[in-house]
Amino acid sequence: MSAKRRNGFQMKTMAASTTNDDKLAHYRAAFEHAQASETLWRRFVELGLPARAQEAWHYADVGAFSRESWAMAAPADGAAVRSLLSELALDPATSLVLANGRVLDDKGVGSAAAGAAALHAHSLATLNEALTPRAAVITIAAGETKTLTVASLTLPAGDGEMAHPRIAIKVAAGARADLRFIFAGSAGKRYWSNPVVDITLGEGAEARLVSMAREGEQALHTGVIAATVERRARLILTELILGGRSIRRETLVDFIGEDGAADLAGAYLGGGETRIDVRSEVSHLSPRCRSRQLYRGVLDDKAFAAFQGRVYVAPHAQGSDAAQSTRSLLLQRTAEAAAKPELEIHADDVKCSHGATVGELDPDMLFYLEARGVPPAEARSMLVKAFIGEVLETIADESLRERNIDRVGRWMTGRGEGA
Amino acid sequence: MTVMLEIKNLHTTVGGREILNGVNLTIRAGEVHAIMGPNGSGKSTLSYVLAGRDGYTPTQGSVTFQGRDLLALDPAERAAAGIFLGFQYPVEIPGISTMNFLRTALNAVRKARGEAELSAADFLKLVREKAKTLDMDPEMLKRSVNVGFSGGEKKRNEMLQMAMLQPRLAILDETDSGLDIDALKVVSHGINALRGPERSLLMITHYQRLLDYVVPDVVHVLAKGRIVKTGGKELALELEREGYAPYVGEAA
Amino acid sequence: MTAANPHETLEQIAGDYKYGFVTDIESELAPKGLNEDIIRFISDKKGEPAWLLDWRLKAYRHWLKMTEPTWAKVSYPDIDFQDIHYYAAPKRGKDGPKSLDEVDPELLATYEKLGIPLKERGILAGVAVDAVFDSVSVATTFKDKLKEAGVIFSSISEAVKEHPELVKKYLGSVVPYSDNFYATLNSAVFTDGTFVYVPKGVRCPMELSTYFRINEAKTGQFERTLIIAEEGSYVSYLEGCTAPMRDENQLHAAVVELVALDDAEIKYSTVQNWYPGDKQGRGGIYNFVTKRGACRGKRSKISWTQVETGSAITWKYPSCILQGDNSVGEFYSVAVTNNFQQADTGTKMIHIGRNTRSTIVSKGISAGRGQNTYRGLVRMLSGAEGARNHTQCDSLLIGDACGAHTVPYIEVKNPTAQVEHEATTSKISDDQLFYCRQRGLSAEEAVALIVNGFCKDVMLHLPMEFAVEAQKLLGVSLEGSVG
Repeated sequence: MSAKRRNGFQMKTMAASTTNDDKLAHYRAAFEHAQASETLWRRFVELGLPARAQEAWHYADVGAFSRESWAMAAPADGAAVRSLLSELALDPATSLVLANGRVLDDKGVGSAAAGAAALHAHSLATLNEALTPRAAVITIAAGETKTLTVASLTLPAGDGEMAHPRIAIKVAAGARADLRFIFAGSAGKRYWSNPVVDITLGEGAEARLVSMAREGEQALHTGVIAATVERRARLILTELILGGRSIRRETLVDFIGEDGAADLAGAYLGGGETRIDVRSEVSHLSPRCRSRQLYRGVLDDKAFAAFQGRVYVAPHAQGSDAAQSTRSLLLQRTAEAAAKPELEIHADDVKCSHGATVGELDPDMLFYLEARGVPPAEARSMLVKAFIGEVLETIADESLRERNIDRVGRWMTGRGEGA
Repeated sequence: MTVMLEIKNLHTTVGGREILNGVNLTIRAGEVHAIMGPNGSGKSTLSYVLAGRDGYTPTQGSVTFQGRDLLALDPAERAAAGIFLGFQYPVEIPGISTMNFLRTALNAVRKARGEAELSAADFLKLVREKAKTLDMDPEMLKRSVNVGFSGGEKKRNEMLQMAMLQPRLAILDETDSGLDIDALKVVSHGINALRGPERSLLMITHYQRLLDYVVPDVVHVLAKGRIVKTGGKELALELEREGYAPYVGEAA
Repeated sequence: MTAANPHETLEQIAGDYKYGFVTDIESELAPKGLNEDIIRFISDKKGEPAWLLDWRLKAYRHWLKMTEPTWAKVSYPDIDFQDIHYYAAPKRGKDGPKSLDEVDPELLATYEKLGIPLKERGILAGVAVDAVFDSVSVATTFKDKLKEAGVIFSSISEAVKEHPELVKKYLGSVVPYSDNFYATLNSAVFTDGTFVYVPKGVRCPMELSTYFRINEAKTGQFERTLIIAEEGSYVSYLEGCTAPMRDENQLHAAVVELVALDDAEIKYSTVQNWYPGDKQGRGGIYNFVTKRGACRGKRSKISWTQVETGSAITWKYPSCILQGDNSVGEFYSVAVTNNFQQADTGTKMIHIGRNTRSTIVSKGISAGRGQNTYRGLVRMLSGAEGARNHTQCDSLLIGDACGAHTVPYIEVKNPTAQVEHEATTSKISDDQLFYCRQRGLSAEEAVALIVNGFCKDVMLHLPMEFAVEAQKLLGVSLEGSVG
């Protein structure tokens, strides 16, 4: 996979981001401390720190990487881990837990080398690979089915600490994975969590992933899920973004075999001064694959959210079928939203479409609900839940779905909306 | 008979244009009134003012409902107080099932009226029973509110909501529009079932067709923002025969 | 004119680029290269006032500090800006022609051949034409008739002399000299272009148009158009462009500025048919253009319609700044890329005022190895209460070696504003082709018919006189794309 395919933007802006050595100095120290290879360092420098001029990072909180300085978090305090797990209602015995990027209880640990080609062209994924040499490894053998919850917790000792959790998943041919991810951490501390989920779906495999990010209110989160989808495999991903100061979630899907499918859905809720940056890149590199993307955002207070979704159809990936829909709701005058749904098509026998809207709650709907006696705050809450509901409906597990719908309701309540 | 609704000298401006200019109307408990008028006479505006829609705030006059100042209440409080507006064009709300919507609305209204919320079982029983009287397929209740409903289905859904919420004063805006004759009979049946000494009806309509099935006690003609004539049910027939032309001139 | 029957259309247009001839006329050329002396030379040639020369020099000095933009999805070898003549004009006496009768017959014949007779009768009887040949305006028709209505329609060089106060007030007020690499270059070296001023309350009695022709080799064309519509006025303006077939690329970097005051409306249409290069991708015009309209007044309206079939590379984003409350911006575009053509085109709609409205309809057609990108920005600023945008972007692919790309940017800072964007990509279906062929159409006729249907929503916004021409062009541009 050449860098050119990824729009060439990294190549063009490289020079600008490497000139400033000062910004990279403390990363260099971290690389040396982790004894990361020189190859990885060169790749990281070449890709450059995220900058506004790079299209993929256009709406990101890029100052956090260049202006702040970050130190690797030490192993987390056991009591703090237990307390957060219990708050999240997770059983450590049946869950795979990573704390500050380290796998607890040495459950399935292995090499961190990136499987997904897309990760090689990604600066922060490269940083993750270099700084976390040991990844949590989940392997699901041919024909098997596995259900597992993975919790990645960041519990730093102080401000300015970073963690680079890495999770590598191999779903063998015909296997099924039902995985839930929770990204959470200390309330009140300024930390940076940069998790990478690298998942490969073998021929005919199916993976259902539900990811929830509810980091601490000062946290910076930059997470990537990279999926390599082989022939006839299917990925179903539902993302819920609920908390953090600045949060970026990226989904990179490469269809490397024919007749693959990916259903991506994401919901993001931002209040306060939260900055949310959601990006997807679905690359149809093989014929007859089908992708669906459904993203819904709700922004309150001074929150800002951007959605950048890209569908790439390679030459000869005939029969590609890609649809993308993104909608954002602004609940306050001070909230802002941006969207950049992008199509890059190099084959002719394709069906590709996207739709994007930004607006406020429909006053006609609000009036209808109120005219039937539903108080204004509850009416707004109902409409927001319905709006987000489209995304949550993609969660197959009913109890998990209901719990998440409740979360949206509680989020609205927390904003002074709804009973 | 006690007074249900009293409108005095009501003026309303919408988008900089005066639509209502001095409406006076008194409806007593148990009465059925019909307001008829040509297009653009202010009929729908009157219904929105009574239900409290944003942008339809009166510039002058008063509206008293069961002795309370109606204009001081927000739309949900008016609904709880017993005002029901049957919309001419009910809005579609994706993502909220009709069932969930009905239940939320009913419980909100009951709570505001100081009544206990209905249990899930009681609610289900009630909604099924009401749906049946309106010839509605219970499957429809699982669908999102009005989404993909035909014109007739939307109007039946309005009637179902009215039956569930048991209002004191139902304002029905062009409820007959878009209905075929069978649907019209079912909807009329729904309206008549609600009639009683404790309830009043205000039907807003362009044609008298609905009035064959729901016979009014009083008929008003609204033209150019005010009531220009009031009479018995025979007035509706007269309008049907002679049209609105004489009134359009009179109010000018 | 009635809509053309596709059979006739294709017979008339059979063949390759038909405007590729060279006019043999003696030209006066500035030496190749760009420096302050060249800019002084251009300014001197035009007898410009000092303020304009200063403005040009300020732009030039700023340009030296700028780098060429790389974000567009187009690729081409580096341009040697020192290997271009920045001024080329047909030789003539000290004073320009006083009337059409004095215009060099060779030039009149050239425009005749291009289908733009510079006579105030015949096919373009209802259209006033300003003919720009390389760096200068050679003739402007119907000036007197327009003068009666109070409309100023002249070359910009003439306007600088006769209406300096208007030019000074508005030049660079929509596209500042420092705006972007090519606009800044244009500000330094622009040679001619069209000036239109429609006074208060006047509805311009006829269509106005400028016909741009590049003739001389190794030249660039840098024209500047400025249209001002005063309160309550209306004007419809159209530009057309052609150039000879040459193996080397030529640069065209124009700037267009529109200003609409209260209740004014400007309708700006373009049929761009610069030489696109040959089937191997040799030659053709680099069309790097900045077009922007300011809806300064309340209820003002600016409507861009473009049919882009020519140029090796097209880089342009006709935009609207919707400042006045209730102002309206529109962008209707058809862009065709065949063979090795590349187009990165779209619009920006910047909503500033309350209840501003914008509509974007973009139809991209890619064939051969053509690369076609729609790039657009819709920005709702915090004061854009109740503003609305609707965007529809459709791409049609013909053949499996071309590309169609859609890159919309949506930025909303006002919750009452509503933005809707839709895009689709598809190919001409075999069913449609077969159906047409079964009814007796050749493959090319069928494609032309289907493509014309695909573009209909845009074509109907073109003035009648040009819609048929544009429709023919579409067919020609796609010749050889199927079969």
